[in-house]
Amino acid sequence: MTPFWKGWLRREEWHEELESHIAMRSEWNQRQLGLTPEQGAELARRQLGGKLRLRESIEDLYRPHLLADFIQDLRHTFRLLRFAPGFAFLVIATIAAGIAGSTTVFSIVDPLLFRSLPFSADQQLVSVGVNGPIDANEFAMANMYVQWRDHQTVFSSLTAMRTPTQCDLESSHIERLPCVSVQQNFLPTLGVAPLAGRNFTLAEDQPNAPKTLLISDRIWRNYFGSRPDAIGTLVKLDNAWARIIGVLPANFELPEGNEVELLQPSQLDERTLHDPAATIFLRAFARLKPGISAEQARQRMMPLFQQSIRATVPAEVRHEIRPIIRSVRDRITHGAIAASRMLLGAVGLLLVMSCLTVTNLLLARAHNHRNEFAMRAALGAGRSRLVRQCLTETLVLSFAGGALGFTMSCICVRLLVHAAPGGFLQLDKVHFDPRALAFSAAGTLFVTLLAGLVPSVRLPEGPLQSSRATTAGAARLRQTLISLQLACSLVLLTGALLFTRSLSHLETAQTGFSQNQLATISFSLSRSRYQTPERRFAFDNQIESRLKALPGIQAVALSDSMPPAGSVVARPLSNIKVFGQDPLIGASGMVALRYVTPDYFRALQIPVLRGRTFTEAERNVAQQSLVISASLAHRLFSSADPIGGRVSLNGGTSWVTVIGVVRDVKNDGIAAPTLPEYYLLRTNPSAARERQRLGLTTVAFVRSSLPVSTLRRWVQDDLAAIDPTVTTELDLMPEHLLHLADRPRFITLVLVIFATGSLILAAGGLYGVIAFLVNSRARELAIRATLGATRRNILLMVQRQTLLCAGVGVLVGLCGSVTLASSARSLLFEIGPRDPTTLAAAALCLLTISFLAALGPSLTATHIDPAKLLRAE
Amino acid sequence: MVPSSAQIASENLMGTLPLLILKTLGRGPNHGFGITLHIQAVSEGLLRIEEGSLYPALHRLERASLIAGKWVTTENGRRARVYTLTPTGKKRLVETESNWTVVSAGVQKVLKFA
Repeated sequence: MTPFWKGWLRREEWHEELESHIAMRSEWNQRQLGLTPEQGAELARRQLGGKLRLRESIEDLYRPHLLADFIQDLRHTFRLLRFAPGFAFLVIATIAAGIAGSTTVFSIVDPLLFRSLPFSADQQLVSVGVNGPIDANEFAMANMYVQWRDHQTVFSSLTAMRTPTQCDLESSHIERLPCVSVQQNFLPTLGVAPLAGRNFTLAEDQPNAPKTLLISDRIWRNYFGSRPDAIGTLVKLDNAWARIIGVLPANFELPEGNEVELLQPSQLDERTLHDPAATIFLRAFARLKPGISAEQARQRMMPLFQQSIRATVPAEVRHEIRPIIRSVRDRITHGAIAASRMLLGAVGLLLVMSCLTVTNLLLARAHNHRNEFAMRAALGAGRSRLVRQCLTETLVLSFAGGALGFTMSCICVRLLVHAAPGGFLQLDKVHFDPRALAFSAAGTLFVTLLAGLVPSVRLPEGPLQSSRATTAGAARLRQTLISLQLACSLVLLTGALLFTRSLSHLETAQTGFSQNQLATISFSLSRSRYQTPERRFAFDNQIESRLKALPGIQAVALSDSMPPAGSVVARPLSNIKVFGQDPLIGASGMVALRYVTPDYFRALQIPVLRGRTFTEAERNVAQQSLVISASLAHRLFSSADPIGGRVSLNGGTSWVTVIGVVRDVKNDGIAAPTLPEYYLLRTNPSAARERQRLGLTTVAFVRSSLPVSTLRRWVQDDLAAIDPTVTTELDLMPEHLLHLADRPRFITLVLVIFATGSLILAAGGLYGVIAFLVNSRARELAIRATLGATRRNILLMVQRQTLLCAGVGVLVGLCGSVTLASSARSLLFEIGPRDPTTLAAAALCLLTISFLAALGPSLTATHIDPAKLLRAE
Repeated sequence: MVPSSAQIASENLMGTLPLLILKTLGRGPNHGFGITLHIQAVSEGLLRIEEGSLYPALHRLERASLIAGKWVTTENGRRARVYTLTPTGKKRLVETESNWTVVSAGVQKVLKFA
């Protein structure tokens, strides 16, 4: 076939050709008929016929047919869709829902799992360390790090940072900023170059070297207006002068995924670093040598790991320590990976569901239109012509669906960013992702187009006959599709139910203390102003007495941390010794500890099970008494009476007496199992025998019937009088607990929305299929009715079909749920991922909905009037 | 009764126009006007080609690669597009011709019988 542009060129030629014809004819006319040249030419023109018509018929020959046909098909499609607005709406809405849902979720997950990290060649970057009960992530004690650094062969460079903290940067006012101390080779290892200025030198990383500082781009902008002369400026950091030597790139973050504003050299002393007793806690990161994978590196580092663990960790707890090398990306996404996978899986199912639904709808339509197609084929439309018509129809639907889906996903992403709990899934980094849209749109459209081709492909089976074979075939295909839909729907439903139940467990979980009428105020002190324990103690006393003086207060207590969150530091259980007993051999796990004031148990209403709690008088004497939780009492003393028992908390160097046992309180988050816990009294540091490890945070617990606004006013007014630099956070305990469940609530919400959507799709689809079956079997049913089948018989017959569809769907869905369940295990609270009750409930729910959806068409089946049916035929 | 030439000169001579064009070109290359004259002369005026439908037919045949057109200058100095039968065209001519013979013989018999 000639390409159409050649035809376009030929148009010029045929014009010339016709002129030449006219000239020859005119000459002939003159010669044969004896006409004048004018008459001859005139006759010649007339003989050629209407030039316009001729032009049309030749242009028609060269016109690109595809376009013309497409326009015709487009008109045809719009006409058809105008007559079937319901169908058009359903298809468009389903496509849009599928695209919007998946684009939204991909937009969330993509920056999380697949975003580019602000390090060069980040696939070579790994986090190196050992995993133990004292921290959720791998870490390295300083002596381990030094040993690895000096003897490793698998990394091109190994570096470390200390735990990020808060530092006070003083200019016109004091700002508390996240800061971290790092080894000199930290930035070079990560492959990060300062935006301005330079990295630390080795000399600056020596102990007692003059303090130097790298600042974030934000500080550079806000404090110095991005002026280059900021480099070299001296600033006051934690009450000491430090020189700014460089600026971090704008998108810089730590390889743990957290943001940081200030970077200082760690200035660790090499001699202390080698000492196993120096408990300096580090996070180590390394760049793999080319060609070495993280797993290979782990294998080859193993002897070194074992050696350093033997040197550092007591034999009793060694079995709890596991060396880990994993990519920095894994390290960063670790916390959200289960939730992300969950969401991805759910949205994948939704996408499959919407594809199945669209396929089913298009198949139904194809079946209804098979006569039209057969007619057109009989009238001479070629196969390719019919295929193109089908394609046009589906293209129009897909395009409309895609456009709607695009709009919806833009809105959804916005809504989600607003609705989701802060910091969760790094939603602040989420933006609408065009690649995600492209992906889901491509998927849906592919399926739509495939399904849309069915009518033209199935064509040859029976032109112009309502062949029973085609009907039966279409019915089987549609039944299979609907079963798959029901299966997908069941998986989503099971997920939604599991998460809903898990959430309700979480919300009603027993914290072990009374949360009503309990307010908490967190005070965060600046390091520079409260360097000594005495100053902190003085501050604590001041706020305690001021709070107690407020009217309507029932109890006020102070602690260093707030349950159900964990304590500031947890200690290995193996550190504890009971006087006269062997050390706790093989004691694994951690024990939580809190420094509290005497009223702590009264304020939180934690029941005292045995003995007594601390007294006011004890506050001014050296620490001698200990209150332990019931589970710790059981671990240490089994069934013996713990009261009066002598216990050492530091492996036998000093001893305290157990004075009381209190009920267990959630102390490692609501979802995690409760740790054993002990309480120490916050004592006057001048009287204390040992250093109390009090952090810079004090939490006040206030039990009162006061409205929160009164407390807030007090915090604003009274605290300003004590110390205006202290930052506070006031919260009501019930609300605080509610917020703790924000993340699971968010996942549950998404799942419930998906499950509801899928149920609607499945129910609608089933309705359609059963109606289709009843319709195509109308004649048979009418004959049965005539031959004496009761309405009950017919109803049962149709519902048996429903049960078959739904039964297959439920079975497949149950298998799917059970297979996929384990991936959700870590996200569920107090409920197994294969909880039989939930599975049964979901299955029953789906069966009921199927039954109800099929009830309408089934009832129609019982009302078929044979006489009317026959007359219609 | 012999049909008048005007009656036969319907759109494409009952579908035989392509065959007639191919047959004419089978004798040698010719331009559109030449083809018209030839058919009219050989059929002794019985068949007269509607000139308006000759050119679309020529173009259609050319698109189907049965004939090939080429611009030449005729002996009296006029530019004309002259068509030649391609090898495919020759093959098609043989087929169509034999088909036509069979069909027309059959049609003849039926007509005579009635």
